[in-house]
Formats: sequence, C-alpha cells, structure tokens
Amino acid sequence: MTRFDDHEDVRQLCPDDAQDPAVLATARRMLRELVPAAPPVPSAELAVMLRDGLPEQSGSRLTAMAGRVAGRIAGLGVAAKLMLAAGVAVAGVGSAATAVELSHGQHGTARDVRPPHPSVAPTPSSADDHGGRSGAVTSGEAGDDHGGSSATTGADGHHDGSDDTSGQSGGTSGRPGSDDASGGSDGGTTTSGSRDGSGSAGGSGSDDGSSTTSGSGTSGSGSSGSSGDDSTTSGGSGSGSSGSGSDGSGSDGGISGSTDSGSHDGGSTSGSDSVTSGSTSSDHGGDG
Amino acid sequence: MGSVGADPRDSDLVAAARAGQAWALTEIWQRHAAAVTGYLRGRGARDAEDMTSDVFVGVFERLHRFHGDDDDLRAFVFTVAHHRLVDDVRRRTRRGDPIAYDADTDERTHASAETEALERLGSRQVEELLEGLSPDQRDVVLLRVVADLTLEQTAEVVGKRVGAVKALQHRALAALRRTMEQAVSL
Repeated sequence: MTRFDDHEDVRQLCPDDAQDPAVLATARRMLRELVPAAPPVPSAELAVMLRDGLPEQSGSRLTAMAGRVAGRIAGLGVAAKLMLAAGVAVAGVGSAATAVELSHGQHGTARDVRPPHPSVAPTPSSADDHGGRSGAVTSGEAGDDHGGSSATTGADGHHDGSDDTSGQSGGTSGRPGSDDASGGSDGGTTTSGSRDGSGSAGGSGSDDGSSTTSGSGTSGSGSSGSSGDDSTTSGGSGSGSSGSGSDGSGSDGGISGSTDSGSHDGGSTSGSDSVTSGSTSSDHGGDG
Repeated sequence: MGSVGADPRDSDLVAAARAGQAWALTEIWQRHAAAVTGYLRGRGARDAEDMTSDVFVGVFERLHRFHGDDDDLRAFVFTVAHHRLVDDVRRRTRRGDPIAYDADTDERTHASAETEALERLGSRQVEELLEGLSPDQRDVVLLRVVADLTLEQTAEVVGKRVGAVKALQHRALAALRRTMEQAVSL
C-alpha cells in the first residue's frame, strides 16, 4: 500500500461512500478554478490548422502507395529500365540453363523418379527414355499440359511486356524445335537436342535486347533467327521481364519439346506467334 | 458557420472537419480547449497553454481515424492530452528538472506576469490541494471533475479498469476531504 492509500480493493474500506457526492461537488467547485474562462491563444501551427482546416485525404493508403510505386517506376530512365531488364534476363537464362541441365540429367541417367502425370496415358511407342516421355506427350493431353505450361509462362511474359510476344514466341519456338530435334532423333541426338535447348535459352535471353545475337547465334537455326528478329523488333524496354517469362517457358517447353513434337501442341496453345515459330522450329528440328 | 445548426453536436463537427471545414476545427477548439488547459494545469504541466495547442494539433491530425459519437470526442481529446502529458513527464524525467523560475532575476519580467500570478492565486491553492493526491488519483479526479468524463471514459483515458478508477476516485475524494477539513480547522 502506498502512502496515498490507493489500493484497488476498497469494498471493505469505504463505509462513507455517501459523503463522496458532497466532496465531489466541493472539489468540482474548487478545481473549476483551474479552467480558464476562454481558450488559450493557439500556437502558430494550430492557428494555421484552424484557419485552413484539415488537409484533404486523397484515397486510401493503398492507392497512394500504388501511385508512389508507379511514379517511381515511371521515373526510371531508359538505362535503368534496361539494366532491370538485363537482370531479369540473366535470371531467366540461369533458370533455363538449370532446366536444360535437369533434362540432361534425366536423359543421361535415365532415372525419372517423378510419378507420371495423371492425365498421361502411356503409349506403346515409348521405346526408350526419350521415347517414353515423348510418347506420353504425344498423347494429346500431355502435350497440351506441357504446352499449357509453356504457354502459361509465355502468357506471363506477355503480361510483363506486350512487345515481347515475338520474343517469347521465338524462345518458345526455339525450344520446341530443339526439343523436337532431341525427341525426334533417337539416342545420340540427345546432345544436339540439349544444345538446341540451350539455344532456346539464348533465344529467351534475346528478349532483353542483346538477344538478337544470342537467339540466332546459339540456336543456329533459321527459325530461331526469326524469333531473334522478332524479339529485336519488340523493343528494348519492358521486354526484359517478358524475356524471363519466355525463359521460364523455355525450360518447360524444353522438357515438353524434348519429349516429342508434341511441342507443336504446346505452340498452338501458347499463341499464334508461337504456333508459327514453333512449327518452324519443329520443322527445323525435324530437319536436324 | 457551415450548414450545421447553431449548436452542432460533436459528431457533426467531426464530419464537417473531415470534409475540410475550418470552422468545425475552431468550434472543437473552443469547446474543449479550456478544459484541457485546466486538466494540464492540474497535472502540473509546465506550459499548459502551449501544451494545449500541441494536444489539439495531435487531435486534428488523428481526426480521420476517430470513430465514435458525441461523448467520445471529448474522451478522445483527453486521451490525447493524457498521452501528451505522459510524454512530457517522461521527457522532463530524462532531462532532469529545470531550474526554478525566479521572477526577481528575470529581466524579461513585466507587469502582466505579476497580474497573471495574482489572478492565479486561487489556482495555486487548488494545486496545493492536489499535491496531496497521487498522480493516478489526480488524473482521475481531474478527468471526472474538470473534463466531466464518466467513469468508463476516465478508465479508457488512463488505461485502467473501471473498478480501479472507482477506487482511485474514492481514495482521492477522501484525501481531499481530509485536506479541506484541515484547512477549515486552521
């Protein structure tokens, strides 16, 4: 208990509750002297508020934050945007290379531990590893599935940069072409197929601008060259993000394409551009 | 005055203030500023008038987030005042007590200060009366008597349970009664 005797449990300690109202009234009379008759003079800051009123609140915080972010992005220079796109492209190339490496590992060790896709119906044409997967993909649904995945990533790329449609289609087309090469050819063509796969990754890198060389050079196929041209025409800025998208699809497409020319289906699902270039590249793959 | 009637309610004032009507802020200030100054004086604030302005700047800045009816605005104002006071006490504790003011050595002293001191002689007695209370008791008494808050509103402002506020008030009134009886006997 303090010297002020303010223990909370006062039920047994206050027999004189009846006196409280009188004391309260007396205290009220005395303490009212503390209150000035008029409000004090406001400070300068308060005087401004009293004169001008509250500032208008424009929209919600979320809207304001979105506006700030959009303004900040819009304020970026062309060089900064290109650097951003290059960074995204590098990340995309890395992911594509990883995907190619993964497909290498699957082809080389011939141990595919992943469970088969539920919608995949194995066909008797699956002779070897390649054939097995390719046969599965050929069976319509699986082909659609892979194509769907690549198309999805391609669509992402579309969202990021509208101009990069051609670039993406180029990447996608390069991939199915290469994959067709690997899938269509038996046995030893796996290496060439993987090379084409990396070529497709280069094609996806091409989305960022420097792409033209990588797209056409790596794949070395006319079809990839056309895709490189497409990406070049698509423009420098904003294409980087879509380039990553195409890269992602590139990896997926690489896998699906490597299985079979079911990449054709994938191309058809991904878009008109993909259809054209995909068919071209697959043809090229067939040639290869 | 705006479109609201001659004696608008606090909720109308808040709505008008949010709509950017400056007169509503002035009306809120004129309604509650004097009581806030009295509360701050009773709690021993160094410069109650300046602090009152700070309190209302804080109130107006937070007015967009305020939700409540007429009575709640008063409790909201005194909540901001209480927090401002607590911050001031902490700041003074950290920096140490300032040197006591000596009017004889202050060259800036002028006649109006003496006049004001004479006018506040009654307030000085009240402050001495309040010195016999604990800080919590003083808070409760001032919020109940000067700010005219209910027990529930007082509990909300000081961040205690209603039962605790009742106990604090009872103890405070008992202490005040003893002090007044002593003053009368003297």
